[in-house]
Amino acid sequence: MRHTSNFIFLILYSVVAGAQTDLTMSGHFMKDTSQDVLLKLQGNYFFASNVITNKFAGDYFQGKFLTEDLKDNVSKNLSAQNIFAGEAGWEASLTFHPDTGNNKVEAFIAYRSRSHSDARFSADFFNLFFRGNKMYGGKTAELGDFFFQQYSYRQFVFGIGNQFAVPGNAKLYVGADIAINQGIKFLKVIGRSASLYTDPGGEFIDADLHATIFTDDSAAQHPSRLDGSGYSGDVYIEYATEKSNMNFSVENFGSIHWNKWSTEVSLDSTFHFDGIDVRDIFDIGDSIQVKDVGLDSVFYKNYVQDKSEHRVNTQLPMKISGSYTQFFHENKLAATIGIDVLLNTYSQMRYFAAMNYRFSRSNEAGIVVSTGGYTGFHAGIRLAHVFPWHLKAELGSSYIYPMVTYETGKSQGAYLSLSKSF
Amino acid sequence: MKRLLPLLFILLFLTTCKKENDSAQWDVNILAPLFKATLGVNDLVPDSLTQVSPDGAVTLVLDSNIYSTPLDSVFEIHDTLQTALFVSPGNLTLTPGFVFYSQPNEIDLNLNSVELSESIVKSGHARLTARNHLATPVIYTFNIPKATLNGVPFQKIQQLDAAPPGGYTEFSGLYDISGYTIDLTGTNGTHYNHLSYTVVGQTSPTGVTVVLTVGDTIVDVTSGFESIVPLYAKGYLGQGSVSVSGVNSMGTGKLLDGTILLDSITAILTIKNSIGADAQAILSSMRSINDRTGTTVNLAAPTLVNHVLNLNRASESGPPVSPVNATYYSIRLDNSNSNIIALVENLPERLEYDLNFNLNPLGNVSGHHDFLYTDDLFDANLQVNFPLRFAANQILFVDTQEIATIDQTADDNIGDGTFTLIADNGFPYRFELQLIMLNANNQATDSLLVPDVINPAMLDANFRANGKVRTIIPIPLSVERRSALLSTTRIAIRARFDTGGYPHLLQVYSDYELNLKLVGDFIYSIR
Repeated sequence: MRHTSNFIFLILYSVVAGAQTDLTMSGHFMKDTSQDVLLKLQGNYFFASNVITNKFAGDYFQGKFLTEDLKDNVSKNLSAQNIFAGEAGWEASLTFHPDTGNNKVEAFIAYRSRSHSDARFSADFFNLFFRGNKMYGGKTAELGDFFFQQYSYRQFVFGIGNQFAVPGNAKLYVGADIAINQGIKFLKVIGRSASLYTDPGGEFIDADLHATIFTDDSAAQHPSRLDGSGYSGDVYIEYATEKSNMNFSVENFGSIHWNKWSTEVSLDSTFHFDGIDVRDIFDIGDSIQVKDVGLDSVFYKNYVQDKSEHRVNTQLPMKISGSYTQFFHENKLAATIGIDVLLNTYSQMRYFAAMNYRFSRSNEAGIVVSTGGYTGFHAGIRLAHVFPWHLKAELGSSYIYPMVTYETGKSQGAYLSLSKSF
Repeated sequence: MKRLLPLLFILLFLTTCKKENDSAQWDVNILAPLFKATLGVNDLVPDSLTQVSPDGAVTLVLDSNIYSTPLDSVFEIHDTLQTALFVSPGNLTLTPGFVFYSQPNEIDLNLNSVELSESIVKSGHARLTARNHLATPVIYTFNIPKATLNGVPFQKIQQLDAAPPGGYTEFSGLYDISGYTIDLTGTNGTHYNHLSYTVVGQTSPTGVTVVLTVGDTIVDVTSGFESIVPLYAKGYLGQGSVSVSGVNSMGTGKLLDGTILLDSITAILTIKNSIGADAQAILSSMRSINDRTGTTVNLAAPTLVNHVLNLNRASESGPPVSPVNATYYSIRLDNSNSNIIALVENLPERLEYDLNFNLNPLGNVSGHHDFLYTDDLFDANLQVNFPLRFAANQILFVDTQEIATIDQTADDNIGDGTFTLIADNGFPYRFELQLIMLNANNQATDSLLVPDVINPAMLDANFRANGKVRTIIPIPLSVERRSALLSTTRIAIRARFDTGGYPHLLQVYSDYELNLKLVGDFIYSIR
């Protein structure tokens, strides 16, 4: 029950889903030619990692105390390189036939809000961050090859699609849309190489930091207070026969250009720290007031020497997916296999298979199993119900299996879709 | 729609869930250096007080003024005020501009055997208090003909309004005479210590004629000088004697225990005579007093104690005010001619002495050409050269310090831990250090570093410290103890040290140093 609560809780707090990495069964196209307009509100969230458990991530995002047991459950998964990603978004869309005389053409407008973060980090980075440096006494913590990016943005989408007749009683659906992107926040850290050595007795610490940090115009200096803008596009192709369906899509191909007040900070420093020098040890009254030492300013002054403001361009996470569906039992049963990948991130290729069964005109359910992406094996379910007046609700998750094994599972996610057709 | 209601209810219920905190919290184990300090010889003793020989041996040079003669021990000018009160002997008519009072005054400063012919005033003032009982305005003029400033004689004029019927008007004022050069030879120029001045009273030329009857007050004036301190004086300074019983604190009151053996000390006592008169100085006794042990050591130095030291007169380099060519008399004390070592080994809290100065032992040999500048009379200076070659046995230093209370409300993220004091000691001395936290009543509430010892550096064949010896002192510090430490406002320092192989003497070299470092091994809560 608790896991279920968290599940729904996270749905609500992510304010619903864009289905970028959840495996929804709904197609992009409005195939029911009896419909003229389709209104849809949908949202999703997911978190996935090859090391970080759901319990750890859940407690982290809920501001709870992270116990040693929680950390241990993550540490035993650590390898040389580790990844995690999280994403949340929602979308409101309207699909309609612009020309009532030709119901094969459809137009699409939507508003999307998306947040994405992903990271690659070393085992030492995790341990240093969550356990401190004591365990590295006499050793060097390798922190290099660190990558983190996080951004949130909005999209105003305009698209069009068409159904083409193909010999053999097949149909080809082709759709494309273009999105105007509005960047809201952006942070990117590229750790080129970094290490931290702790003396066995703690007498000194040697650090070697080489990193570049990019961030948006947090002071909102642009007259429009717009931190970034750009364009992206989606392409959907579906080839459908009576017994099968083939899908290919490229989604979110584009970028955001962050304005000229975006900041790039380069850290290229090697420093040796062996304690704050107390000059006048006999004047305790003065020397003990170390609280006034501006460590932040000292750090900034000494080690951050290369800071510039200029335009920064970031490529959005681009999803490429392909799938094949075979229908059985009077098309009530659909079996799907597919593959997708999220480019411009550290996600790996994901392979999935799904079964969907339509029990009645109003109810259908499905299961999906997959492996890859940011995490390992995961499985989920999908439920859809059509209410009266063509009101349809679809709820599902590709991560039910790791969410059930909440303590050790390493991914979670869900999506919710509400649509109304006229 | 009915089917949607339960779902909406669940959604509404779940949206009321709150995050426990704004951000996650966790503990990390930190092992890091916090503070470091290096104590070298120059940290213990300022550079200005040390001399370093080519082999690095350090000598402590203490140079201090132990006595300066105050002016009033030579002479002092007392306040002099005179009152004149005259009444009308019969019927008198005073017309406008009529001078009714003109009285020369000549004050003898009464300086005993001192006979001054000239003085420059450093500070002081003339006073005039006048009451006008006449029914017309009057004018009083205060003149000091032989007091000049830039060649201009002193003169002040003051007008008083006409008195009301049956009453009077009054003026009371002070006139600054700082910087005036005063001829003290009197009106005729044949005396010494005589300060002459006149006060003249007349009715205002623009007033009215007044008619006085018997008994009416004509003159009611008080005049004179107050708080006069000379900058310079010339004449015969007399055969005065100055006896001084002085006490100098030695700053060892915080040494509560222990003994010390010294190798050698050289002390040079220098007496400076800036007075333009011959003098004799006699140090009748000097003693070091240790109240803790109740031990008093008298200085035994035949060439100094009860020995007459003749001090030649200083000379003027030019007319006043010009630099003085002072004369000096120095006497050196060392192991061979005194017990100066015993005096210092007593670890005195104070040094007491009895010193006597006699002026002009041969009388007025200068023909009234003695002089003095009051800012610079006799000075006695003691310079002690103290080679830092000594043996110390259980020297105990105790002190209390006020410390700033650290605001703990802003950051209390540090949890339990152990702080480790790492001492790399290059001194051949053994240190014990104890920090005692005191409450508002100066009662000890906790102590740190007990009973650990910072071990001495090893000695080579020449009894010189060779390298450093490391001592590691763990200091367990729980959250409660840390909180108490940070909130304490007074801390007592109790330090004990001794030299290895006491009573063997060890020389301090300039390259000796003690490196201290505090390393923290603690839990830090990320919040």
